[in-house]
Order: sequence, then structure tokens, then C-alpha cells
Amino acid sequence: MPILTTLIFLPLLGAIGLLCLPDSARPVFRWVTLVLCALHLALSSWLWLSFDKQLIGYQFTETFDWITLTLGQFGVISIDYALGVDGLSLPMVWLTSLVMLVGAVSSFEIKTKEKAYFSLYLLLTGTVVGCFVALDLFLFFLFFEFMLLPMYFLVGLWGGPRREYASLKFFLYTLAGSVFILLVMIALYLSAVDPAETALSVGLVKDRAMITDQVLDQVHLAISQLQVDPAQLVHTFDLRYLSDPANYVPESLLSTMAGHEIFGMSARLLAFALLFIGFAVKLPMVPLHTWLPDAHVEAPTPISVVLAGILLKIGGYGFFRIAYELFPDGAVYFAAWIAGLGVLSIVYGAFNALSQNDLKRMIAYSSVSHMGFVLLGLAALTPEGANAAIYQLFSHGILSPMLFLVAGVIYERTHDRSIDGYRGLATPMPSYAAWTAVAFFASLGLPGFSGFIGEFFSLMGAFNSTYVPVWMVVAGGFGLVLGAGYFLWTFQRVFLGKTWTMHDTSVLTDLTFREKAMLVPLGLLSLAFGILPGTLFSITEGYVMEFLKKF
Amino acid sequence: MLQELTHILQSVPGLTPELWLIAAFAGVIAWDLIDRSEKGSAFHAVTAGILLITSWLVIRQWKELTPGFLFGRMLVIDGKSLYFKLFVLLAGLITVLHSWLTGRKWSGEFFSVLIGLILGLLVLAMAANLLTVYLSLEIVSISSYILTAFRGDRKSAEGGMKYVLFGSVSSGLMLYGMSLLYGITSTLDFLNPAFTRALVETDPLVSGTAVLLAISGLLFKISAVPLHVWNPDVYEAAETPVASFFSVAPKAVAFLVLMRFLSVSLVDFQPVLAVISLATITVGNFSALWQKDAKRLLAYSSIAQSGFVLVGLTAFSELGLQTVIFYLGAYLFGTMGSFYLVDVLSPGRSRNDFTISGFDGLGRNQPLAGVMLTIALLSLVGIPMTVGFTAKLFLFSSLWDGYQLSHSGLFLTLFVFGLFNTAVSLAVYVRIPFALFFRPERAEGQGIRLSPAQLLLGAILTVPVVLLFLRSDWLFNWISRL
Repeated sequence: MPILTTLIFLPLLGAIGLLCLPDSARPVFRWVTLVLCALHLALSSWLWLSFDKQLIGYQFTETFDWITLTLGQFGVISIDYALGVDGLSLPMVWLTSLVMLVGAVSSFEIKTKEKAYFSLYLLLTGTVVGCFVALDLFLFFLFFEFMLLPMYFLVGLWGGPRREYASLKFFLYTLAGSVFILLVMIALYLSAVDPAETALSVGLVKDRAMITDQVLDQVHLAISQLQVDPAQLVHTFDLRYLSDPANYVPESLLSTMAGHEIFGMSARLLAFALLFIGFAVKLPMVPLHTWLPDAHVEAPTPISVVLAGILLKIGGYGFFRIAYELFPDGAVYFAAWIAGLGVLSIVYGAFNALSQNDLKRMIAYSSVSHMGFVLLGLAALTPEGANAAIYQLFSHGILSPMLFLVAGVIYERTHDRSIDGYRGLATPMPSYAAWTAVAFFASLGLPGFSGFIGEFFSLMGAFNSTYVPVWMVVAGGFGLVLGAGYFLWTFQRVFLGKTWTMHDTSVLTDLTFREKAMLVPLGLLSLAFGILPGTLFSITEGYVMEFLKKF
Repeated sequence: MLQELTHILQSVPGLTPELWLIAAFAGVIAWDLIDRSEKGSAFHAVTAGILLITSWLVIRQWKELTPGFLFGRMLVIDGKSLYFKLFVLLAGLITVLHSWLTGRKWSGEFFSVLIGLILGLLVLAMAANLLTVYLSLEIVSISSYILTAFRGDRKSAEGGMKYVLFGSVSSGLMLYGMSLLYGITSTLDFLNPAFTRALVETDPLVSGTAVLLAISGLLFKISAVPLHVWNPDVYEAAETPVASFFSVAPKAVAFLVLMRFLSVSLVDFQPVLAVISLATITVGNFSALWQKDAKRLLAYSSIAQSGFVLVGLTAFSELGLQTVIFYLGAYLFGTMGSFYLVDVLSPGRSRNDFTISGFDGLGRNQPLAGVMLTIALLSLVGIPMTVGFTAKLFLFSSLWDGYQLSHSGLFLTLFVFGLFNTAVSLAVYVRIPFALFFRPERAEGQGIRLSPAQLLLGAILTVPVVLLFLRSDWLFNWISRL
């Protein structure tokens, strides 16, 4: 059974299935979603366990021809349905299953229009997984942009009072971001060719099975000497080919050899910068982050969980998989800038978080701050830095859902998320206070939890890097202190002291079983990955070694 | 002499679909004159049948006819003209079904004028001589003026009058340009190499002006800026099926003639087209942002979409022209689907009132139609999983290819600003789904129920939007063989 296709289409079929159920089946919608998400997690856990850490490159690959267009003198365009996972995407796929399952449990609180909600939720699950496993840029972009639709409706239909504004802002910002990516995508596929298909179309070999490295070298040589008729070039979106400079047609704009310039700037550097901006909107990076707090505040709790837990990770994943792998020269050239923007996100996000009175807004800005560490670790281009960036993505994917669930718990009881609306909640809600403390301490980077590993190694990687100035590392470290500041201060104001609230105290009941079922596993996972970081590092290491060879 | 006569006789089979339409045109008028009784939907059925037979005749031509010139190089018949003929007939068929399913009552003249309009378009698709271009374009224009004013109230008369005034000015300009071209080249046969030769030998300023004037009538039909001002008023005045037809069929054929004409007039038109294209996209999108009426919004959207098609024309390579044709195919389903679904869903249809706020909450009441309308609109934006995305991707690919070859800064500007306009267009189109799904329901929308037949036509228009995304090669490989 093709496991990756199953991971994409199981939720999609589930979504269609839900639509076909009659409205009278209303109570089972949430259970169907829950079961499908649990099955999804089981499948991706199996994927994790059967993943061979020793192998370099993609595993579980599936490749089918999807669309082939013959365009006369212009050549051939080949779009493939190509899937695969490596040390970078595997943790993200597993994280998707996990966060989606947690979100499905959290979605039990949705009481209106359940059919549409759960269908869209499953649709979102499928597209997010698709984004992480797609090896074809066209396919990636399809999932990347299509995902906006379910998200737009999920925020816009089940969100808070200003949901219409927030959902539209989210949609427009991320669509504008994806236009940056589309610009480069067009330039990319028109510059690169698929050597294997080209060998077939030129007639070097008769059969796909006869293609060897020698044949590919022959094709590369022929292309580099402009011996191939343009009509026989097979243009490709396949990321495996796009990441190899030998596959670029020499006179094309993005070829490493040609050194073309656009408006006085190197075309490749410009392309990198555009991709970077596109994914930075999604990450989000200061100053492109303003859609995030609005979207988070208005989204219902499960959607906040998914948004922070998974959708932001696609931005980080895109940096690795597309911007950095395809344009290593750009990554080196802009390294100090990227690190600087990362530090800016860390510090600016943290200061903003300090000044918020809305619990969800505070957490949203803490996400901005935490994502800054990803940028910093990535910019370093050192093994520690790159590993830590992936680790930070993963760890934030576990911790931010926890934080939003914590915010959701109190909001569901009082419909008030203001930090100054509560004091001394530890007395009526002891286990709520305890698990909030776990979430907060883990997020602020207490050693022993996963957050610490990500942040610490990011800073260390940046410190060891020749690309990042030391003052930036120091400023990033200051961000850690600020992080401790806003988390501890919030905790103190809300949970400690004499109990006071402007709401009826009778609603302040402690965590229900369902809430514990979400918070406890996430907290334990964070602890587990904090104590045994090797579980994840052993997966990412091989990928990072290969990744850094490009620089 | 005998040779010419045999040529004319041999040319007649090439005109079978048109001759059949002329007969049908007369037949419908005669039927209406002889039998004055109430005919209900009979006219719709008969017209749909006539168009189906015409399509069958065109398909037969495809199989039997060898490409070539007809009637002494007056008309040309090739893969492209046959493709566009089918395109027009499909649009016409959708228009008739749209009108039928929304229960519109027309007198018989409406159908004969519509047939006349389609006839004009079929001839225009084959026009190979400036004279036939002008004549068929006038048939199209005059029929369009009548159809616009057909509702007979004040507003529709105003729209029709505006159309006549703007239309006659632009056709005057066009005629002026054509007379200049005739003066320069001493031939009207623009596909003749002699025409191109004479044009190249002239001062580029003179030939450029003449070409620009000569295509102004076509630019008017595709509502390119600055010849677009008539468009929103006319669409608002015309009944929705008619507006839907206007926004697709005449435009597509005008683009075909533009392609034919520009490929032989070797003047440097690309900078001008690039500027017109960018202006058209931008004006269309930004004006659409402020519209309160769904039909006016779609009218401005159709202006912006024309601008996008002009992108492919600006690139003007083999690939560029193929993508233009592909884009028009995508556009047909997206636009006609949007017009149709807006029309069937609107509570104010009988009053010709399509205020966007009238759609509030209708998506919950009619989820299937709401989703279909959303798909059609998203295709106009160019979001993946709709053919609109593929079409835009190819269109801008051809422009990028042109940029790689020429390194023209103008191409790059168009490339970047054109693509960013898609983000703006999202803000335009999303307003209708926004009203459909996010707004509370209103009392006037409660009674909206769509019949299965109405839903079926919606599905016929929106399923291809998704299907052609999944298998864009089906349409594209057909187009590349034309």
C-alpha cells in the first residue's frame, strides 16, 4: 500500500464521506474525524518506525506522470505526482498527524454546522500532509495554496467576533506571499530540465530502465554544450532535479553558470530573496507577521492549535526544502540578514508578547518570537544550527498547541481571555495551573523540555557560525530572557495570589477529562523529546549532513 | 473566369454552418411572424437545437475539410477558426440554457438576433481580409446593441445607447486605420506576405499608428483600457445571460483576429500591448474592488481577465498564443459559471438587482450552488485545483520565456505586477463567497430554491473547471495541434 498517498487521501476521502452522511448523523461527525485522525497518527508512527535512518535521500517515494505537455519549439513540460519523505519531512508528517489528532479532540467543542466544519478540517489535514511529502514543486504549490481555502472558511465561519476581518487578512497575506513563490516557480521550471526524461526524448536510451548515471552525465554534458534542441528539453518541477545545478540550461536565467542580472541584481539572489519573503509570510517573520495575531485571536481553539502547531511549520519547511536547497548561494549571501531578521523576530515578538493583555495574542506573539529561533539556526548554516532549526519547528509544534489549548480552557469557561481578568486561578483550578506551568516552562526554554534544545542549539549554532555576527547571538539570547519574562509574569498574574475574577467563580471548574487527554500527552512528549533529543536528532542528522554539503 | 467560379463553388462547403445559421435566422423570424401564439420555452428548445446542429456541422468540417482560404482569400478555414467556432457555439448554447433555466420570456426576435450575433462571430473567426473583419464585426456589434437594449426599460435603453455611441466611435477609428493600411499596402488581404512587406518598408511611426487604429475595434470588443468604459454599463443593462455571452464569445473571437492580425503586421507592438495589458488588469481589478453590484463586479472582472489574456499576446510566441487559447477556455467556464450561478442565486433577479449584500447567507441555504459559485470565482482568481491556476501559470510562463529571450524590462514589470494583481483579484472575487457563507441570512433569500436542472447546468459549468486542472493536458494538447 502506498503509505504517503494514503496519508494524503485518507483524510480527503473522509471529508467526502462526511459530506455524504445525512444531517441526522450529526453526533458521529466528530467521532469519525477523531478515528480518522487517530488512524492517521498510527500510520505516520509506523512510517517513523520503518524509516531507515542510515539511508540518504528520499524514502517511500512514489512517482507517477501526471501532466505532460508538448509545446513545440518550447519543449515539453512534465508535472509529476511525486511523493517521498526524508529526515526533514518525516518529523513534520508525524507532527501533522499528532497536532491534527489533538485538534480533533479539541474540535468537540464545535457545536454549530458540524458537517461543514469536520469536512473542512479533514480537507485541511490532507492538504497539509501533501505539502510536506510533495517532491514536485507544482504539487507542493498546489497543496500550499489550496490549504488557504479550508483555513479561510474555518477561521471565518467558526471564529470570534472579528473573524471576517481576520480570515480575509490571513487569506490575502498568505496569497500575496505565495505569489512571490509562484514568480520563482515559473522561472525555475523554465530553467531546469529533467535529465532522465530528456535522455528519453533525445533518444539516448529507449527505456526508463536503461538510464544510468553515465547516461545522465551524457545528458548534462549535451545540455551544458547547448547540443540539445530546445524542443526536446523536458522541463520539470521535480525538486530532486531542481536542486542539482547540472540540470539547469546554461543560458537560462537561474543557471548558476550564466550569472544573469535583473535590475542590477543577480537573478539567483533575487529568486532566493523572493522565495524567502514568500515563506517568511507563512512562518511568520517580523515585519510580515501582522496577520498571525489577528488570525489566532479570532480562530476557534482547535484552529489556533492547528495554525500554530502545523501551518507555521510549512514556512520553515519551505525555507529548507525550497529556498535553501535550490539556492544555496543565496542562503550564504543573505545569511547575516536572515539571522538579523530572526533576531528581530525573537526580540520584537517577545516585547510585543510582554505588552499583551489578551492571552491568545500573547501566545501568538510568543510564536513569532519562537519562530525567530528557526531563522537564526537556519542562517547559521552549521550542523547544530540546522538541526536545531528543525528541532525548534518540531518542538514548537508540540508546545504551541498546548499553549493555545490552555488559553482555550479559560475562554470556554468565561469567554474572556484577558490576563488582568483573573488572579489566583491556582486555587480553584489546581491541575489547570499545573499543566499551564508545564506548557509555560517548557516554552520558555527550561532545560529538560524540548523548547530548551531548540533554542539553545540555535544560539550555539549561530555562535559557531562564520556568517552570524556575535552581537546577534547575544541579542537572541536576550530574547530568551524576555521569553522567561512574559511567560512567568503572565503565570504569576493569572494563577498566583488570592483568587479574584470578575466572572462567576462557579464556572471555574478544573480540567475535564477531554482537556487532560490533550494537555497531558503533549506535555509528556515535550518532556520526552527534551530528555531524549536523540530520538529526533538521529532522524534529522543524515538530512542535515547532506543539506550542509551544498554550502 | 471559370477557375474563379469553380473556386467559389468549392468554397461553399466551407460555409455550411453559416449558411445553415442564415436559414435558421430567417426560419425563426418567419415562425414567430406566422404563429403569434404564446410559445413558452419552445424558442429556447429550438434555438438550442439549431446551435447543436451547427456544432455538428462544424465538427464535420473538422474531419472533412482541408485547411485553406475560401472565396478568394476572404475567409480562412484552419484548426484555429474551427476551434473558435466551436467555442462560440458552446458559449451560445450555455447562454440559451441559462436563459431557459432562469425562466426568461423573450419574444421571437431575441432568438433571431442571438443567432445573427453567433453568425457574425463564426464569420469573424474565419475572417482573413480587412473587409470581412470589418463586416462581421459590424454584424456582431449591431446584434449586440439590440440585445443590450432588449429589456426595454430605461436603464437598458441607456446601456444600449452608450454601447452604440462608443461602438460606432471605435468602429470609425478601426475603419480609419484600415483605410490607412490600405493606403500603405494597397491590399486588404492582410494574410498576404505582400501586406507585411509593404508595412515593414513604411516608417514605423506611420505603420504603427495605422495598426493600432485598425485594432482599436478589436480592443474595444475585448474592453481593453482605455476602450473599456462601456463595459460595466452595458453588462448591467443587459440581461445576465446576454452579459455572460458578451463577456466570453465576442472577446475570444476578437482575440483570435488580434492574433492573426498581429502575427503578420511586423511592427513593434509589444511595448504598447504590455502597457495596455497592465493598465487593463490594474484598472479592472481595482475598479472591481469597490463595486456593490455582483454583475458590475463581474463586468470589471471581465476587463481584468482580458488584461491577463493580453499578457499572452504580449509574449507573442508560439507558446504565448497557445496559452491565450487555453486561458480563454478556462475563462469560458469560470466566467459563464459565475454569471449563471450569480443569476440563479440572486433574489433580485426579476428586478435586475444583483446587489452583493442580496446574496447574504444564501450559501447556507443552497450549499451546493454556493460551493459551485465559489469554485467558478476561485478559478477566475487562479487558485489551484481550478483550471484558472493552470491557465495563469502557463500564461506567465510564456511571458517569462519571452523575457528570457529579450531581457526586456517591460516584460519583467508586466510579469511581476500582473502576478501580484492576482492577489488583488482575490480581494475582489472573495466578496461573493464571503456574502454567501459568512453573512447572516436575509428574509428575501429564504425562498431561493434551485431545481435539479438548474443545479445540473451549474455542475456542467464547474466540473470542467476542476477537471481541466487535473488533466490540463487534454485541452492543451488539443490546442497545440491546432
